[in-house]
Amino acid sequence: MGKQRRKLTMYTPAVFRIRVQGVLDESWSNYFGYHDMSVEEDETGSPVTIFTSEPLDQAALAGLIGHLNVLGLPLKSVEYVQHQGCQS
Amino acid sequence: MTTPDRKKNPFVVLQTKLHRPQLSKDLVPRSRLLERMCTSQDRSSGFNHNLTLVSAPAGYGKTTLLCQWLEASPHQSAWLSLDEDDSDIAVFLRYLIGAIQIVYADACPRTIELLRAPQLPPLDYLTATFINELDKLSEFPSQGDPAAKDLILVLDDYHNVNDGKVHDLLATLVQHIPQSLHLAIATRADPPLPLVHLRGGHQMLEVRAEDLRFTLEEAQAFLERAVGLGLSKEAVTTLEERTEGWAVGLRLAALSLRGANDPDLFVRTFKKSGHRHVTGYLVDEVLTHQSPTTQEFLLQTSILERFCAPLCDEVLDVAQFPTSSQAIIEELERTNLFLVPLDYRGVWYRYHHLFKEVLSRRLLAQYSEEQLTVLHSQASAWLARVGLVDEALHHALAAGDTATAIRLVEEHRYEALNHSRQWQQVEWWLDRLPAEVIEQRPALLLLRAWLLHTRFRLMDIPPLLERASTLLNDNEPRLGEHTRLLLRAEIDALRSQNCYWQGDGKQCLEFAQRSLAATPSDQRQTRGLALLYVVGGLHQTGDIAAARAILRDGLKDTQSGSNTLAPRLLLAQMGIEFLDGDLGSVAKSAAYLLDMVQKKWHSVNANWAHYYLGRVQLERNNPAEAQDHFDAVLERRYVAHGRVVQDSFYGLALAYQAMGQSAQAEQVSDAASAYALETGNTAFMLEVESFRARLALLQGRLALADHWARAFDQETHMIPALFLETPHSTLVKILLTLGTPDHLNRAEMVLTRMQRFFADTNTPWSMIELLALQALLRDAQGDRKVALTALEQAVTLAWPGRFIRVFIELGPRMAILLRQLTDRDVAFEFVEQLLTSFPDFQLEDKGIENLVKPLTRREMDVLSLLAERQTNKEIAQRLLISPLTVRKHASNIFQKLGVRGRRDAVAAAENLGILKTR
Repeated sequence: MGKQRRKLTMYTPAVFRIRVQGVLDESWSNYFGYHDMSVEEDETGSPVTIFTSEPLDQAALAGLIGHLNVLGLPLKSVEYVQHQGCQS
Repeated sequence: MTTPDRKKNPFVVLQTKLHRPQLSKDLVPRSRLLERMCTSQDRSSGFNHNLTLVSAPAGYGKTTLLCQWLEASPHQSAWLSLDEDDSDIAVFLRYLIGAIQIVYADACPRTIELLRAPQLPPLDYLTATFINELDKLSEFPSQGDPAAKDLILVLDDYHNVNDGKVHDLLATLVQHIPQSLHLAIATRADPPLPLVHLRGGHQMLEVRAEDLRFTLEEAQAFLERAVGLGLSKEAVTTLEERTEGWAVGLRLAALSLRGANDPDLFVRTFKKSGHRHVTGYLVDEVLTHQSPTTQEFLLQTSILERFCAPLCDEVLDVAQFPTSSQAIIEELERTNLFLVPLDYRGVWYRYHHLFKEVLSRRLLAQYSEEQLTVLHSQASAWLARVGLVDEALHHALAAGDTATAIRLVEEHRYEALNHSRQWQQVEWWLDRLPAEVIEQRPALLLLRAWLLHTRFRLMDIPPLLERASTLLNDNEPRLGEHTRLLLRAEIDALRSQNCYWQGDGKQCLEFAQRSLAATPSDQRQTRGLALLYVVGGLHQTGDIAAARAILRDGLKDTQSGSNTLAPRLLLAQMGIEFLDGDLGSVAKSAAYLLDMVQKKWHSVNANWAHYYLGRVQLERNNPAEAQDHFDAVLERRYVAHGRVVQDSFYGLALAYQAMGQSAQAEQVSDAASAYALETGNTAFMLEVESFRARLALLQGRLALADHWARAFDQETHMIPALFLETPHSTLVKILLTLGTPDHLNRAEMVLTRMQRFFADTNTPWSMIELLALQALLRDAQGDRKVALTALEQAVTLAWPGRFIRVFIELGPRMAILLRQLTDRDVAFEFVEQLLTSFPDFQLEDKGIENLVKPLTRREMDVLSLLAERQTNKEIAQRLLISPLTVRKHASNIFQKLGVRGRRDAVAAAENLGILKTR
């Protein structure tokens, strides 16, 4: 078997880069973990928050997106970054 | 099951949601997972974690795992399967408590009380009450194993919950969960709870998709058990890889294998189908192996959340299905086709969610909208017949069948109004019907009107009555004559109420009598209200004897539980007794009512009883006792009638003020404002401003009182003075204190108007205050003789009932006047009692004309600077004396004015006209 790259599955934790319209502040750190959060201005001059998630499986990702929805933050993009591809 | 069983309340929870699903027979025990979970709960030491979270996409075996865990656990469990419609916090809590009550009968009574209230209380109040009651579960009789002390609360399919309030409630619960409780949640997506925090604090045990996946060994074990024949290792590996260890995938594969003629061929084809979606492919495979009848059955019943044989029979087209549903269901269960039994009697089932979803999609693809509508309508009809109104409504609306939805709500409004009184349920229904639809249906408009009635939002009711009346007159929609009569009677009853509070006794009586004549005795809601206002109308128009006769008759039989109108009548009686100034009788009636409702639980009426007892104590100047009663009402403010609550706030504030606790009084008055806002009752919001002005006056904050008085439009309509706050009275009190000729003139105009109104509406009690105010007015205008005559009349009216507060509140000037009365031969003892009840005035026996020894010039200087809020030091500097001297002057001032502090000194001085008002 060795070190094969495995495809992304429903259960593999993966890291995602997420952009939402609006501002997320520190208080949400109890709910989901994130790194490299920054706020930019988009073409309309409104703030956009960008952050990198912790490794999330699909249930956790769905939960995160659902929570952003509950918070009223329109989702601009969700981009897969990487996952632990190696199987021992 | 044709007619709904009256005893089994049709709005009660569907029990199958509360039973943990039966485990399928071919399951593989997930020992490696169970070990992790079992180790987190050692029976003797309680739970190590607050929360067990099982979060994985559909079909990974979450529910199964939880069932296996609970089966192996020594603890008790309460199970709740959540659907989309359970998202609302009130519905959610009702179901959750329903589940808990299976283990601990009658648990969480106060939360249930709150859930039945006309309006849902604020979330933190609800949450706090609920968590407190969870702490006390062991006090209730346990239906299970007495040795098992701890309880696991299971929420299955939590991803269906969309209400932020539910998330907030659970977040709080998880943080503060009682020792003997544990929460377990199964969901397809991580819930918006503070999971990072919980993970960090090791308060959570997580089972994720990665954990739930079948390993090769587990897959092998499962397939062997499920399929029976020996599969090659390659075949198992292929299946495990292709399904990625996904439980449902494996199960579907097993089903396909069982039905396949050539298992190896299946496996090979399956491997090559890599480009196709696994579930879709496998379900297709499984379905093609079923008979056409079974396939149709599966498709058509997929619209149902839950089903039983009779329901299926109803939904399905008899022509198409010669076999009974029962037979088909049994076959499906035998072949393990994703049927989940929901009770232990084999009556109710549901499909595994994924299976149902695939079936639903196929159904939508294959059936026309018309055909779907027929299915939903048939389901709705059966569910309605059985009394499962919420589910029936769901299907009617899904069918786009607004007509049926309307019919359902209208048919059940009788039950709602007269028996269950689940007002939040009613609101829930009304919210789900389109607004345009409600506009066109008198029965629904009136349902909304009743809802507003329970919240005492009288001002919002007339437009609904107008509209309903118009519709009935036009007979649009066509209704039976009998129905129209009943609805008209409801309109009349509600109209009579509004008339009463506008002081139109004649109209009130007319409407109420008309309503009563047209309403049969089983329409308790309408009849109760009509009777109440017949009595009210009779009293208001002066026919006291008739009013009392009705009360006497109606209250003859109060011992048997069947006199359901008795509490209402007692309420009317207390109102009348109060208006007549007969405090003694009010107290007796209130005590009687309290006694009556202890035996039969009617909390709304208990609150009225406490309220009236509080009023009696307040009027008699026993503020401490009054406080107890008003506190009792406010403690249960969310189950009490809005009017009672608002007044209890005023009563409590006045009680505190009477005890000298000004700060508390202000706090309570702030709370009254907040409550008025919360209820959205504009009448209350206006009234509370008036009360605040009155309190400000009592506390010497004349600026605020003056400000309100300027803005108050004295032409606003008056209402019969039954409750504590009468804005026009407050206005007069303020004007009298301000005391300029202009102010006095204005006061005179208002008083004249009040006199006419109170005479017309026959309220002797209100005459007491009116006469007292008139006395003060005449005195201020220099006519002491007339003043004393008026005061004499007031005292004569007040003496039998012992109304004391009314005089005390009018301050030192009233005290001076009352002193004069001791010369006349009027209720001597009572007047003495009044005089001793005034707070802390040194009423010197000599110097009757002036309340105090006059202040010296220096003291006046100090006093005016005190009024400007200068400190002792500043005053000392201004007057070129030492601070010690200032203190001495101040102390003399206080003594002469009979007060304790500078604020009160300024107020007293202004009241007496010693200081010009600022």
